[in-house]
Amino acid sequence: MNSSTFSFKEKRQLLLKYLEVNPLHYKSIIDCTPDIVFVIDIEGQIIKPNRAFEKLSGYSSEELTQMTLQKLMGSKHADKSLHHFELALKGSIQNFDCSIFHSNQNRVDLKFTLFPVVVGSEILGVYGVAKDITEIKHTRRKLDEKEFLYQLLKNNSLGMITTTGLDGDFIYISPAFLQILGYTPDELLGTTSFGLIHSEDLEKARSNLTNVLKKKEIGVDTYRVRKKNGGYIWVECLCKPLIDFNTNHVKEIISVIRDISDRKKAEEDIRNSEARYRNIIEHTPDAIIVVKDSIIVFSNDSSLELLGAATKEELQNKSIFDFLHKEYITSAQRRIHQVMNGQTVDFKDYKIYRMDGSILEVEVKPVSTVFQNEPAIHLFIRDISKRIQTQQLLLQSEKLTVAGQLAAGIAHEIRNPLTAIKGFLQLMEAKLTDDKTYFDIITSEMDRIEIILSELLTLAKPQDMKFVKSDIEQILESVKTLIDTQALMNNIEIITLYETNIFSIFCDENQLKQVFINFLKNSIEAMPDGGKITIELRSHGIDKLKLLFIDEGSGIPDHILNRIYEPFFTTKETGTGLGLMISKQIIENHNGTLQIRSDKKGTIVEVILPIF
Amino acid sequence: MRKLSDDLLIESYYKAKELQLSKDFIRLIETEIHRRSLSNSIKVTS
Repeated sequence: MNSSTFSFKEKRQLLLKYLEVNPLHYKSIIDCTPDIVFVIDIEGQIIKPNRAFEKLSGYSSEELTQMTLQKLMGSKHADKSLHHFELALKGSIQNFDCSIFHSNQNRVDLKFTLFPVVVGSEILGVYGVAKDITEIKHTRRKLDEKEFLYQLLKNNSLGMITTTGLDGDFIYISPAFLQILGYTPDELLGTTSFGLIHSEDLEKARSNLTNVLKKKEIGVDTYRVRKKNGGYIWVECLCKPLIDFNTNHVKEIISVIRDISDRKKAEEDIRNSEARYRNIIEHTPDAIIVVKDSIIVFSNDSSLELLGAATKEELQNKSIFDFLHKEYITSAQRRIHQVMNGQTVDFKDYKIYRMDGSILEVEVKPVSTVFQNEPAIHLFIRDISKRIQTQQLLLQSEKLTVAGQLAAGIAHEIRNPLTAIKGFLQLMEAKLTDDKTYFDIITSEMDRIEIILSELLTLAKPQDMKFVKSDIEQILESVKTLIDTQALMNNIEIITLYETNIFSIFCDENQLKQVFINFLKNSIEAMPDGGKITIELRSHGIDKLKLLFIDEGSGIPDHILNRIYEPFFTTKETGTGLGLMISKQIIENHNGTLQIRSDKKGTIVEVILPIF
Repeated sequence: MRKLSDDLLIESYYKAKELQLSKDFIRLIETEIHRRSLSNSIKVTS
């Protein structure tokens, strides 16, 4: 090794002697230190291992002194230690990390320091100090792994990861920023993160940051952020404060940002379509009720009206069979069953009870649906009482038309024979000189037949009307003049109240006059003790006029009022029972409406006609 | 009306006119007179 005047053996003897003499008082320190302390002779033999060495290597002091350092380190690191050992022998201090094998074959990481033992000018051996760094190495390795993982996550995550300072300035941004927003780290680092946030969301973002800093908790919120190309996307931002363990202050903030534009859009679509659906359901004129196991779970506004409930809560959780007339229950159950099995059924008529107990005729169609993720039934319910009423009216008017045509046909046929009878009767009367009593009766009855016949003919021939533009006031005035004498005789005053506007109407003047005379005559007959009749004329909407004939008569009892338009229904001895029916017909032929209201204080006849 | 003799028909016509009975009645008789081709007898005299 070294150029030396002593042989190996002599040097060893000298070293041993030196150690015997000098470091005795350090021995206890050496024995107590947790670090390994030992000496190696020139040949590499371990001398004087301390207790820590025994403990860390698992070998006894005797065993260790039989070994070389290289042997402890195992073949893999032997060369490395030999190299450092040789350098130490040449006089330089060596620091290196190396592991040794414990007697139980576990690895022990050590940090070695080797330096020469110099006696006089001779290097006799090497001091060795080694520190156990197994624990440190282990922690370090774990840290490295974590760091690696963290880097991996940061760089490859689809979400954007950024760390920002307390003021919101970017400190780090992940590569996903480029992919998603189009910014490179250079463009953003050092600028404020608020610069990217949509102005409308800025306040929200600032308060979120303040919150995170104050509470030191994770904050999640959604914002719109600007892309480099100017567009905005919705993101969900999770901010976590990074707390310094020493000061317990927030150091910086890590944010994980996810692109949620698609989700937002989907949410919005769902919301929109739901709103649309709801809108349709709520505003449809049909009553719609959703039923789960025959219990009402949803009802729209129209159904409240239909069933006569004030609030939706009144219907909620009630059984639909409570509303159904009992004779329909089996049929309804069968239909619901069919629908649940996937069949479709059509509308069917039912009778149902409303909340006030009244019965309503409706048609119902059940459709299977899903309500709150469970199978349910949609019930479409339509009020058909109006339709039934209309149908009846239609039938009635059809009947009347047929009856009218028949009557007109008959009237026409009867007319000629009647004229002949009447004529010859009059001839006969002229010849007779004595008793003529019966002739008057016959003549008056004949006249009555003629009146009925001519009225029947008017009824059946509305097409014969001659429409001209006329002034309604003039018509009313002439009617008034006609009827005034009769009115005066009955101590009745006729008052007219006309609005100043002049109304022209398109009408058959004679027919309207006939109608008005009819009304006034009725009124006079209803007032045997006198009184006053008011004729009112005023506008009704922009294109109609309203005419009122108001009397102070005895009124019409309800049971008669219901039948006044029936043909041949009369309460008068000499009436034909056709007057009002024909009046109504005439008004309707003028595209108008006729309404008669009555109570014990009198009757109001209301005529509405279009203005020309 | 058809059972009436021609003479009586024409007599009735004049009588009706004289008594100013309803025009419908007079027209009815006239029609019957025309049907029997007796129009001359009333035209000549009227």
